[in-house]
Amino acid sequence: MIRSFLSEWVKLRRRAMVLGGAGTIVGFAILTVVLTLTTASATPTDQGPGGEGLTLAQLATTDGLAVILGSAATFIGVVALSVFAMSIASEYSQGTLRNLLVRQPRRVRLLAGKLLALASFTTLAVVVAGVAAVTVALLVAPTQDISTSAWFTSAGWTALGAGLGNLLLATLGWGLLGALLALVLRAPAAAVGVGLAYALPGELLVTAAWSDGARWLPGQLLDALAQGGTAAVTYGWAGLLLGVYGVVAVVAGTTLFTRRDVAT
Amino acid sequence: MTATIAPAAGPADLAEAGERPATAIRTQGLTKRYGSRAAVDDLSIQVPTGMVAGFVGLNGAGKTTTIRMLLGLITPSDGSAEVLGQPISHPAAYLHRVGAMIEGPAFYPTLSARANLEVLATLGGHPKTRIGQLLEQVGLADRAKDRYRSYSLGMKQRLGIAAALLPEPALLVLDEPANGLDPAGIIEIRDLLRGLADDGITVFVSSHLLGEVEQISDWLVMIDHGRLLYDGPIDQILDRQQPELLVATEQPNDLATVARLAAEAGHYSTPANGHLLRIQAPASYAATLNRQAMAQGVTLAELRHAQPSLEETFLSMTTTTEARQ
Repeated sequence: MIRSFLSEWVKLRRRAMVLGGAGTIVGFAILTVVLTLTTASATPTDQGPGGEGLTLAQLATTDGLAVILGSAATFIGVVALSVFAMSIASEYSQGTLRNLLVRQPRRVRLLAGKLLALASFTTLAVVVAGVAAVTVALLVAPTQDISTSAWFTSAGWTALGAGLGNLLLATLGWGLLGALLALVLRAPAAAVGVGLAYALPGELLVTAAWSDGARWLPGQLLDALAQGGTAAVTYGWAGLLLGVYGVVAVVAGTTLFTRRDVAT
Repeated sequence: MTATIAPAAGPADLAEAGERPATAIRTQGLTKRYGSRAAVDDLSIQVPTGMVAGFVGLNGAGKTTTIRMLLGLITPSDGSAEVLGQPISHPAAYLHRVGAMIEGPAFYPTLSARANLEVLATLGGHPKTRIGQLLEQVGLADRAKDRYRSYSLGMKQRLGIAAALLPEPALLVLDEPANGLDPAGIIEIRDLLRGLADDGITVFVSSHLLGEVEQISDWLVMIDHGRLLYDGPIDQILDRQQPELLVATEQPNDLATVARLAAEAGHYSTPANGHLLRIQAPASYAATLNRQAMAQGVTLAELRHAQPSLEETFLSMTTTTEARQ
């Protein structure tokens, strides 16, 4: 598994992945910080499917930074979904999977090493995104008359750590969904397309039609996890159900990967 | 029904006195079905170690499917097989000693040749020092840092062979390695494969270029529609084919006279290329025919002995099989 992990990193460290994958995650985080801070108002405003916008008072609390990071979860998540899906599905479409399996025929080890490498890549990207987001927030907040003093109290640091951890967990959850789609569909365009269609308009439409959908749909649960819980979904429920979904995804993906013929 | 010809001497006999396992590849009733269609049908072969074994068949004959089963990429529907003495149900037990290029080269387009090999060397636990040596060996050292997508088909093929050689294999499985190579490249690959066999590596090479296979192979596995036609020494199948005499007369009308003389001597003949007569007869009949033709007032413009090529042999065998079916 270690060899598979290191082998995957030879591919992940190329410029296209660093700029296209990690760079996009960092970019989304910065964009979210800027938009959140510059559009915040004294009273809550309706932002359509995105719910109510954050108030200046909310942003100035100890968990202000964590809330900002949490609101970037879906955008960062779909990037992670795309990175995982493309990395795995392109092994099928390019025919490189057969080379990998000849050099590492133990398929579970190959898949585990690959997923761990992608997870470590995503973790690094989210951490860098977090640092970049905090830096940009410190630069932008004074221009909007938002006090940052609460952010750097002991409680503020704890909230920021928890927020970053929740964002990471949610991002890895999106990544796992991308990996599962890649293993099922075995084509990068199809895996990314289906993933994006589901994550962005798909779940919103279902949630609009099914009021209880937020408690069961994975995208909504990941969003709730990233935000440390929402009015509709508690943090504990989101974590529990996502854990179950995660186990199901890992078992289903591993079964497909190990049992299916590699005929491409 | 197939026209299977059993070899006179099996791999076990050939390697009787050696210390290596007698067979590099052994299959028994190996079958792969997709729905009702059998891509590989009850295939039983034995490929001895230390030889270049050609694996021939028309496109769609089942060569790549067989190779994929041998490499653990697809699961057989029925039958069994061993590679280097290990069952294919446990590919991890033998693949570290096997190099393979399956259905053409496949690499990451945006990575260089060196990085592509680094991916595989890291995964297989092979020393990175091999990468430079292999790139040198296949003539890609100068382009090692260029992206794979900028390579010509021939260069991609060479990189595929370099990747297959990474593990210092005991068995090298190559699927159509000459595809896309120019004549000079084909000769280089031929020399490379012969050199590897001389070093004791078993080379199992599939190709539809029968002339190439004939030139480099010691052993031949021939399949058609997923079924075995022949498995044995290549010399044996060529020797079993009827030798021929090719005859041309100074006056084209005299070919009929020559055909009559051959028929009277019990030899079957057919016209070939419009001005030639192809007579199924040994080389020793040439002098007799020459004398008889002269006695009839026929001057032979050409008289030569021809051994049927592997291509002709293959075509005659597959035609026979189809006729029987």
